[in-house]
Amino acid sequence: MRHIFLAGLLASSVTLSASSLEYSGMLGQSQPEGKTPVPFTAVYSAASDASGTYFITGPYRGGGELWRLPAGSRTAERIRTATPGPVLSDGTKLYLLDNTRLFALENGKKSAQPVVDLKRKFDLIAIADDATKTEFGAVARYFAYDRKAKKVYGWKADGTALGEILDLSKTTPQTPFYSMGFLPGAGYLIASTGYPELRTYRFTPDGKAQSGNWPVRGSASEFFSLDGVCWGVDAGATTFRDHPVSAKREKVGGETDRYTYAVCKDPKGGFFLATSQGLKHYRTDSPSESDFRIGGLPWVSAIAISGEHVFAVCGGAIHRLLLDDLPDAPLQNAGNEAWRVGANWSSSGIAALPNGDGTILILDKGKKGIWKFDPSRTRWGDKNRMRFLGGSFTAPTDMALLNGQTIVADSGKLNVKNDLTEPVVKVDAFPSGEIVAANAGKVFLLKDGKTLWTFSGAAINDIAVVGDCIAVSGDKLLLLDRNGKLQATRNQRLTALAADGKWLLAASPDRKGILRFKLKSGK
Amino acid sequence: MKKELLLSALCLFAAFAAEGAVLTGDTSNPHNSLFKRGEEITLFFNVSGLTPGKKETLLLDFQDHNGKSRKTMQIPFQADGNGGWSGEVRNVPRDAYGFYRVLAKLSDGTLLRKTGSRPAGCLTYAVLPDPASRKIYPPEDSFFGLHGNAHGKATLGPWIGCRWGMRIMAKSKEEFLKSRKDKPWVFYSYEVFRGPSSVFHQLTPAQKKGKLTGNEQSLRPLNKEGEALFAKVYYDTAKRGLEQKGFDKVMRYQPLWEPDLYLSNDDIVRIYRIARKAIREADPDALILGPCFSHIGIGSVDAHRKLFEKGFLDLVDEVSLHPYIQYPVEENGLVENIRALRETVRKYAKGRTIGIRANESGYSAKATPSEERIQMHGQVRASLILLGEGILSNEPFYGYDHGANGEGDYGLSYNLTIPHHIWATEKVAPRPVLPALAAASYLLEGHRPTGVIEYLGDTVLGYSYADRNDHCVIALWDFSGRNTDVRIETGRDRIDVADIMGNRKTVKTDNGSLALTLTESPVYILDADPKLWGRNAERKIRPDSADLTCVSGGEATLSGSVLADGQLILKAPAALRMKDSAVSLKKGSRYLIKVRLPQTLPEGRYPFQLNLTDGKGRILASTGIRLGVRPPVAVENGQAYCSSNGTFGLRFTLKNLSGSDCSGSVSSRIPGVPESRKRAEFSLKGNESRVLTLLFPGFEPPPFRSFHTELSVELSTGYRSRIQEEFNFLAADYLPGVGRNGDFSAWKASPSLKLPGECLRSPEFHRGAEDLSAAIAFGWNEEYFLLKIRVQDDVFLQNSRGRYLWNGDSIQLGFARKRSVPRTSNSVGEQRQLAFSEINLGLTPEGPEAWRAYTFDPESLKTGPLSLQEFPRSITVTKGNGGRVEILYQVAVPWHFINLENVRPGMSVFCAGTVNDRDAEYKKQGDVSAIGFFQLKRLPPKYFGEILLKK
Repeated sequence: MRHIFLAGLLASSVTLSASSLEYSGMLGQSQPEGKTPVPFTAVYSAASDASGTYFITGPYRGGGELWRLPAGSRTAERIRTATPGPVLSDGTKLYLLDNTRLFALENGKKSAQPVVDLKRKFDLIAIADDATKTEFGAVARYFAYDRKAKKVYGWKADGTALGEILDLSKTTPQTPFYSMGFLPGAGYLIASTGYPELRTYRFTPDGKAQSGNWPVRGSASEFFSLDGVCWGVDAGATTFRDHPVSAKREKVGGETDRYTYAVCKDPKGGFFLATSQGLKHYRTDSPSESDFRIGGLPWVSAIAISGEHVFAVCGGAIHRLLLDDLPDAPLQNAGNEAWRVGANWSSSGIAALPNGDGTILILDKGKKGIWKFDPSRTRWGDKNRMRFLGGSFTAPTDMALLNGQTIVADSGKLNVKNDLTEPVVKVDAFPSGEIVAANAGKVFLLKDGKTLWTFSGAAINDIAVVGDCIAVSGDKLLLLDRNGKLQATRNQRLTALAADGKWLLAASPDRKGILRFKLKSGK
Repeated sequence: MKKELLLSALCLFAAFAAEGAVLTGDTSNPHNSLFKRGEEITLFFNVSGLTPGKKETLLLDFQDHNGKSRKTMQIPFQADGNGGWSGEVRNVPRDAYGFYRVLAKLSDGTLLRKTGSRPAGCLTYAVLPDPASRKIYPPEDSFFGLHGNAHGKATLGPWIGCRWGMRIMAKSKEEFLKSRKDKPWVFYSYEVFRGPSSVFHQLTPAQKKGKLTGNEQSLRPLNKEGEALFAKVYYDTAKRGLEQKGFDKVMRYQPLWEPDLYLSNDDIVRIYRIARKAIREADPDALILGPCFSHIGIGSVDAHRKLFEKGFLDLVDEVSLHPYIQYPVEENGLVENIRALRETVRKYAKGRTIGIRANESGYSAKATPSEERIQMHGQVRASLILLGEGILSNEPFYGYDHGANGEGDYGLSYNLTIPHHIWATEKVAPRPVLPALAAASYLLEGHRPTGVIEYLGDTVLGYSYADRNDHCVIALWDFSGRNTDVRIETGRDRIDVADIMGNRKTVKTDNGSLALTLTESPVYILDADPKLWGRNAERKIRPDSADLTCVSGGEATLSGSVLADGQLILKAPAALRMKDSAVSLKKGSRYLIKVRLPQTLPEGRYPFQLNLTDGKGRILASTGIRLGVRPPVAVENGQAYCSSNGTFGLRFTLKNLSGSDCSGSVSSRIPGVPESRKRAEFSLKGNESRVLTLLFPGFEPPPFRSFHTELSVELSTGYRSRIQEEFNFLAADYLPGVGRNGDFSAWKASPSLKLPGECLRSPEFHRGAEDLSAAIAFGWNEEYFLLKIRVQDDVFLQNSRGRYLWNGDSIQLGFARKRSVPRTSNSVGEQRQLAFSEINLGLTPEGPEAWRAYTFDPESLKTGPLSLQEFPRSITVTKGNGGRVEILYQVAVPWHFINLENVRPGMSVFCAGTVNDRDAEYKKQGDVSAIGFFQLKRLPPKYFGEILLKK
């Protein structure tokens, strides 16, 4: 067995014919190199004025960061952290709800004094637009909905509280309304019922539900006023007009926008949807196909490459990308986006592998077993999207496939015959049969159970066989050849790795995305 | 043990009992199950084979033509001592016109027995207008016909309202009068010289010998004596016709039936010259119909033109046609092709007015609700289009199903006597298309077109029709499969609207404007204001053109004149997000409206509506313009490409359609393939075209895999478009001289493209790569397309010959010039464009045999054996280690086999194949197993691979 030390290797010269890794682009992070990465995937709120689009992104709703995307730009800038939101628009001006107080927002700065102090938390906020001077618009300017009490409260333009202005529990029908908004201009309040009825009713200030075209089919979780038209969001965004001239409604968003939280106009044309996949842009001439996405892909704990697709396990979600995606490409997921896959799968996925049949195997350290994920099952309610294959592991940390056999690193040991004396937590394999294993500081190459060489001297997060080489992630990205000889080094801190014969993908905790490298074989 | 035996016996008995239960049913009009509205309808059911005394329930679900349940019934009963039961059901739905499918089963799951082509589990009936209430119009005002009526009391003609159909001339006046006895239904016809009336059958074999050749369809004279025989038959028939006029005041004769399938144009013209002369000699007033071509695809209009160029129209008085076309008829060009044909007729008619008559049209539909809905929509909409486009008459094909398999085919009704008695059946039951056609004829017979309505939506089509009293009917539908909301001016405050089955309801309009949601099912607006829609309606808005084209970002000019004072209001389609614009005009003045199109407007057809209103806002006239928007820069002729060094990419033509200079970029992408992301800037002068190639270095595609490719154009104006196509990337090397004189020695390289190992045929006889594996290489030169296939087999066995070569160790190869051609139909021209053929090869004791199993050109490239001279090949078998054999096939396919000539680098050819494997004689191995490349047997050549010719 040979021992190879990184320090010694770095001191020696690397020959010109060495293999190398060529950086080929970023996946899942819209911000360009040198700019603060968007740290989260989901965007929960968005509104725009002529200067640009403001959005709030965060790990969960009600706790996020306020960002601005200047008009016409695809590079966003962070304005402030710890912002519950939402950011709202009355059609002209922007507002920011900061816990219980609503502030005006101008050039990214909130006004010194709140325009309204709500005094307590509400589920939904709405603002009558400037043109709305009838019906509810004649009564109040700011509105808040207490979903539990089913009551709407109002405030005048000067912030004077009007108290309860509509009790939806006393209206007819007395259906649980889970959202409310306003029809701009007409000033009617509209409210949507939930499953199974899924209708939207229109109310006058006296609490009467109006007939005629109303209630209309379809519901929305929130309503927004854009250019004098009411848009509701649910899975994408749809118009709700006072007098529908057509049964057809304008719609923005596609199948992948299962969870849409807000809609606003792009000042340069088109729409933005705030979704669980990020802030997605839609052109007016292709309203069902997003052309770019603003957002990141943090906490990538495992990656798998399956053909042209990349699967990134991130917390409770599995995101699908295409191997050739641009940094701001919309994610590919469909169906119950973002594959919060159900079947009691609360992810502790730490390794992912293509299974050769289009499915993905995911090692779950929490359940101590392996899941089989079938991405072809994309319809809402599809069964067997995620199947637990079981496993009798104690503390699994990684897995690899070799000629159909699953090799697992469990409690520091591999489940195949080997002569290792040190614990290992990472494993991969060459198709020719050699097994690569690693712990936090060493890489081992095993052939027929015997250790051929050991490589040490670097902090190791993950390993991956790429072509005829081995990639090692840690504080630096290293490329070793089959003999353990260092071929190339890149000064990037990376975690989870995945590779096929030519491409290496590496999760970047700093860039909140995935870096793509192309293997250049040495000669 | 005894208990188990008893249980088994009981189970067996139960199984027999269940299998023995039979449920049959019929209606109180068992001949055709057609009823007048309001007429009493009784259903009769009979059950046999039940356990005596068993309590059961008959479950009935009455569904309409959309599969919507209208009524359900549960009828409990108890089997009699013989295990039987009979019952009647009244109070069935009968108040609304339409189709009713009665799903009938017993609660134990026993379905109503399949009868003829009517599937198991249902019987059908239809409620129709009373035939006695149908008006009789003269032939020039009668449009609806029927091809293939049921016989006896099952007759469909009066129910459907058909007034046109073919006839077979009786042998004598007496026989004719006998056949017409007690048949008062007025019916116009034409002699078709088919069956016993055909020239073929009117002559004896002795008469034909040496004078005529061909079968019944392709019969043609060999010489002057043969021409005389033809003339005699036509003359005699027309002479007999003078005594058999019946309802026809003028006799019509159609000498040939679908001759485009069997005869050359020269033969058609020759026979028509004979026929016209002979028929006119017998009956100077007779009218001659023809040519009766078999379909109305793009190729068929061209085929008509070629025939007309030979002077054919001098020989006919009415053009006859079988306007078969794929569904949806609108998207497959029925309207455009009919117009093109009419224009072609006009062009070659030398000033005569020659009408067009359709004497077959229809859709084959298996007996499933989904296919029958397509049949219903296709047939009804085709009829509305043909009537609207001025066709003289149309005959839906066929009155009843006639496929012996009883699965349902072209029939407007199920044939309940299949398979025992197929033709001239006397027992049928309706399919949904039948009452829908009956409604169309009831509402529209006697009417003729007054206008086409193409401007209400990109996928909306409609026509206005009026009868001689100016009673106006408008038919409208949307052919996209989606619903479209439209508004149309009716000139009435209230108006009747009828559904596809003819059920009317009165609808209030908005000051004459009727709002409708259109679907695939046509609706009829009845009695619209003749001032707007009638025969003499003055078109107060007269656009200079109803069809305009423009590029995105360009300016379209709508111009014309108005014939009344008023406000002209332009309503733009929603996609343009334009407000209505209005202009006040005086009677007789011209209008000129310029519309600037958005720079980013996608390609498509956009309907504009023009309304002229009076001072009170009342609509005086309404019309529309269709604006075809083209991309400023089009991507055309996209294809896979391989450079001389083997780098793959895409090659395409960028065409500036805008007339002004433009610049932008074009990007390529194969999703998931980073190497394919390429981008090129371009600038093009007005109307300039340029061929561009984007190469993908490092792209190493699997040879037999297809990729979705994208080419996106983005202009500096913001316009963008994207085309998506599927390509595989596989190249043939240039190998000069190889194959000439059967010499393949210059082709040294061993095949390196390993065929996918997946077994394509009889996997039970395939044992993986050890049993059979193969690799292939492709080559080409100016004379041949070359293939070299190296097969590794454990056993070589080829005892078959000729057409059965495939049944031993062999290869089957498919070749084609193209994978598909636009608007498929069965025209010979399209077959030649595809140029699909299949050749099988195997090594037999006589040497390397080849057999052409399929050809696109039966005349000059016949099926059958291929000599070494016409098709050079080499097949060798060598034994290797371990008893395995290596079979090496080397094949040189002459380019004319694929209808190609002057081949050059950059061109491509399409190919697929299988390697067949037999390891044992038939008794031990019932079929060959096979591996292959691309898909030879699935809708060939649609899934063939493209082989690029590289040099």
